[in-house]
This record gives sequence, structure tokens and C-alpha cells, in this order.
Amino acid sequence: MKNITTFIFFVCLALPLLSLSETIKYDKVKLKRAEIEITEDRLLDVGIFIFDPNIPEDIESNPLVFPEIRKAEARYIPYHLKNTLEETGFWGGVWMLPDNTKAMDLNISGRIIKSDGYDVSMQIGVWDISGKQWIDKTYKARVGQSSYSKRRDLTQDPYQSIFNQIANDLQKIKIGYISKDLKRISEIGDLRFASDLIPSVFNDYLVQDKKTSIYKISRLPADDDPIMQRIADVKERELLLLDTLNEYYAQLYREISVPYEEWRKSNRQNAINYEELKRSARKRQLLGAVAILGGIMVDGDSNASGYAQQGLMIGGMQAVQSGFAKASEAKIYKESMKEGGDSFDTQAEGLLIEVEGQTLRLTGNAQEMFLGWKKLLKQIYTEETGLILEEDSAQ
Amino acid sequence: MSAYKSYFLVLFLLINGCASQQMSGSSQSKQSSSSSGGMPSSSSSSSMPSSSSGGMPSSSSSSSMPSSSSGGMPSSSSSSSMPSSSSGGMPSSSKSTSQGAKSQDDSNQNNTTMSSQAGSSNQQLGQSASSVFNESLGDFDKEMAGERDIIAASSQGDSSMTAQEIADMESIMGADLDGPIDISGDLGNDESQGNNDSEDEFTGEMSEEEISRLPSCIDIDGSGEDKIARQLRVFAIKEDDPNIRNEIWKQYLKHMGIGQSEIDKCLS
Repeated sequence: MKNITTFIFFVCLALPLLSLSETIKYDKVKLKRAEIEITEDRLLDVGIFIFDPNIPEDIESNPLVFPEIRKAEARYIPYHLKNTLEETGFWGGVWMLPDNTKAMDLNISGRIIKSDGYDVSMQIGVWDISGKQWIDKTYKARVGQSSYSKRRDLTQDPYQSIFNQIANDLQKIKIGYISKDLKRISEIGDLRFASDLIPSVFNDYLVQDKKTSIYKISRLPADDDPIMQRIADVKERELLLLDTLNEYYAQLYREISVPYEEWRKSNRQNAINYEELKRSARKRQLLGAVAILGGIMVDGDSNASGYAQQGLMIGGMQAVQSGFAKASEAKIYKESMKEGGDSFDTQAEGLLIEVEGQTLRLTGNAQEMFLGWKKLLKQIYTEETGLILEEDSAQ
Repeated sequence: MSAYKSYFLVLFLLINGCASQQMSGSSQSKQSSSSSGGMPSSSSSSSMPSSSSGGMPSSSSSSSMPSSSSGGMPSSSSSSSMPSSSSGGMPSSSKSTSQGAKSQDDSNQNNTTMSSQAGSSNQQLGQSASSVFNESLGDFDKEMAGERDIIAASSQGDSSMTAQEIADMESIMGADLDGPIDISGDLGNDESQGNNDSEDEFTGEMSEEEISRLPSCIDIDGSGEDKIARQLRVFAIKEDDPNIRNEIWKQYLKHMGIGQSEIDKCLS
């Protein structure tokens, strides 16, 4: 009786381990689109910074994070988010930004936490130009096999659910603003841009709350202010520069999209196999250990208890052994992920260097131009108003 | 009658003399305003803030533009539209686009180099700051239109073009615009030879000024470079701005597998 009780005790202990089956729910979020054309007073220009690739410093201990792939993703993901936001019809212009700018009404930044084709997670922050935070949230999704199907709508990225979720969240927040408030955000944007060009003139038009750091307008320039018109001309050039840079990003996006999807697809399968085998190995090793322990504890002089003890010991050892076999099988998938990652990593590196070279060249040239315009605007202001401007370097 | 002629001649010469004196007087005042510390001028001896302009990367340029004596305010070119792109790219349109940008056709200037130097030389010729400003906007528009044409050509024209070929074409365009480096030989090498052979010819064509732009730790013959490294070398040598050049050399050294501490030492 005692033997049976012991046996049942160990079986009960092992049962939960056997029943660890997982029901996976893949996220599908539908994108909300504008049904009618949005009036101009409700449109905001949106800038999306190149994401933080979040490459760990100790790359050796994170062999499945590939630096160049992450860097490529840091440009691919914001570009696809730009496409998604444009598709909604709720926004003005949407640009990917290489650097900070005051030309946007709304700025989006992001950090890639995980992206292996199966699980994706990214932290997103959104601020308007007044400094008010709209979103600070970590978005996660688990990607299904169907997301990689060749028969799907190919404009939809396998991570589309996250992009749709971000776009929907932004729209939900924007809908809470009345048109007057949205217009005020744009006005603050114009003044911050102006203040960046001629601080000594436009700094006084804005006040920044000391506690919240949010900007408010203290006064507005006249509608027909000629210097504001020129500043608008400069802003237009900044947008033109961003348009051009975005075409380089578009090239990178196009060139990388196929190999990136292929990598994600194969990496997803390897990641699933790897996780599954790892889990299975753990399960078998645990079960084996439990069985061996049970075998040791089985007590009795009868033949039955002798057979039970022997059975448990042998079965346990076999389970542990097969657990180790599964673990080494898992290592093969890990190696496969590493190989696939390394290969795409090298491919991505070349494309990245190309686009970064172009970005540096263009922004470097434009920088000279913008500095020249700053000086000219100050001169024009002095000529037109007769007012002598303070040195801006002190501000 | 001849007395009248002489009178008109003297009068004509006097008027001309006055006019030329006025002109030289105005350019003198520009110089004095920029050199005299006591003269209140928006541009005199002002050093630009190092903060970025509208988000553009900043540089510590301290040059000052000569001030213009003209108070005239030519109308801004607000009636024309942004240069359109025929590329397959996805140019965004701002909610406020199409105001202010100059048309590509409204200027005959051939020089499309984006540089405020053009502005300063125009100012020396006596143009007002606002007309220099408007002209430089037009130059910028042309430069961007040129860039976008290159991108459009690379996107549409030849789909079989490799990324390297596109980059080479853009480098050539850039060299045409900026002038200093001719890498046509470089492209020729690409077509006929392998990756590493081309550097020898390229470095063989380098001028002394270009060689002086090489950091001491970088081989002049470019040994061990692949295509990407070579492209970075071309970009770096071509770049006039020392800060940007430094950044490109950093990328180059990183690509060549040099450690961060050695990069810092090399570029310090």
C-alpha cells in the first residue's frame, strides 16, 4: 500500500510537467483609416526618429542579437511605421528623421527590445512639439506563420499588428484634441523653429513651464510678418531635405525588405524549434530526475516493488538522456539562427553604410546652408526693423 | 557748341564718378561694419550658436557674413512650387507644402553647390541680404532636385543596378558638383577589375591636398579595403567639412575592424 502511495505521489508530481501544452494567440490588430478627408486644421506633421537599436554592450553573451540587423531594423521599422501612418490618412506629412528637428508637430521615438521574427517588442515614446507626452508604452506581439505567407497582402509587414496598434493609439489621442488645440501645437512648432533660427527675436514668444517643461505661447507674430514668411521658407527647405533623405531611407527599406523578411521567417521557425526543444529537454530531464528519485524511494521486498523500482530508475535515466539529446538538438537550431543572422548581418552592413554615407553627406552640406540662412535672416531682420539683435551664442 | 559738349562731358564724368564713389562707399561700409567692433551689425563678429538649426547637425563655424547695406526687400519667391520628384520614392507632403519654394526653372545659375560662400560673394557684389537669401533658397532647391533625380534614376532607370553602382554614380555626381575629386577612373576600375585592384589607381591620382586629408593611421594605398571601405574613403577625402570628414573616417575605421580606442587615437 505504501509503495502504491509513493508511486501515485511521484506520478502526481510529474503530471503537471506533462500537461504543459501552450495555446498561442497571435495578435491581429486592424488599422483604423480616415473615412473622410481630414481638414487641414486637424493635420499634424509627424517625425519618426531612427529607432534605438538597443544593441547590448556585451554582445558576446547575446549571440542571437545581431548588431547590423538591429541597426537595419532601427531604420526599417520607423520607415514602415511612417508608411502605416500615411496610410491612415489622419496625419499631415510623415518623415523619418536622422536627427532632432523643430520642424515637426509630433515626434516619435522607439527602442527595439526584441525582434526575432516570432516575438517582437518595442518601446515607443511620442511627444508633441510643446513637449507634452502622448505615448510611453511597450508594444508586444507574437507573430504567426500566416504573417509570412506569400499570399497575404504584401504591403502588410509581418509585424503589422504593432504598427497598427501604434497608429490606432495615436489617432485615439488625437481625436481627444479639439481643432483649436491642434492648431496651437502647430503654432508652437512654428515658433520653436523660428526661435531655433533667430533665438534673440523669437525666444520671447514662448514660455516654458518650469515644472512640466511644456511650452506655451506668450504672444504670436502678425499673420503677415515678413520674417515669419522667410522662416517658413527655410522650414520648407528642411522638409525638402527630409524628403530627399527619406528617399534614401526608402531605398534601404526596399532593398532590405525581402532579405529581412526571409531572415525573420526562417529565424521564427528556428526560434520556435529552439524554444520547443529547450522546453522539451527541460521537461524530460525533470521527469527523469523525478522518476529516478521515485525509484530510489520505492520501498518493499515484493517482486512488484522491485520491478517498479527498476522500471522507474531505467525510465528515469532514459528520460534524462533523451532530455540531453533534445538540448543538443536545440543547440543545432541556435547555431542555425546564428548562421542565418550572421549572413544577413553582413548583407545589412553594406546597405547601411551606403545610406549612412549619403545621410552624412547631405546633412553636412545642408548644415552649411542652414547656418548661412540663420545669419542672413538676422541681417534681414536688422535691415527691415532697424533693431540690433543680441548675440545668440549666449542663449 | 563745343563748350556745351565739354560741359556735358564733364557733367557725365562727374555723375559717373559720383556713382562709382557711391558704389565703392557701400562696399567699404560692409567691410568696416564687419571689421569694426564698435559698429552695431547683426553679423559682425558673431559666432553662431552651436545648437542645431532646425535639427540639422551643428558645427562650430565662426565665420561671419559681410553685412549688406541695402535695406531693400525684394519679394520672396513664394509663388512657385516645390520641385517635384518623379522618383519611385515616397516623398511626403507637409500639411503646409508648396509655399515658398522656388521653381527649378526660374534661375539660370549653373552652380548647384550648396554653400553659403555663394551668398557671401553675392553680397560682396552689392546684393541685399534678402535677395541673397532668396537666391540661396533656389540653389538649395536645385541641389535637392538633383539629388532626387539621381535617386529616381537609380530606382527606376536600371533595376539591375547594384547598390554599389548606384553609390558610384552618386559619388560621381557629387564630385561634379563639388569639383575636387575625379573618381571616374575609380568607376572604370570597378567595371574591369576586382575589388582591391582599383584602390591603387585611385590613390595614384590623389593630389597632395587629398593625401593631406588622410589620417596618419590610414594607408595611402588602401590595402585590405573592400568596396565599402573604398567608398567611405572616397566620401571622406571628398568631404570639405573636417567634422563630417572625421565621422566618415570613423565609419571607415570601424568597418576595417579597428577598435574604438585605436580609432580615437588615430583621429585625435
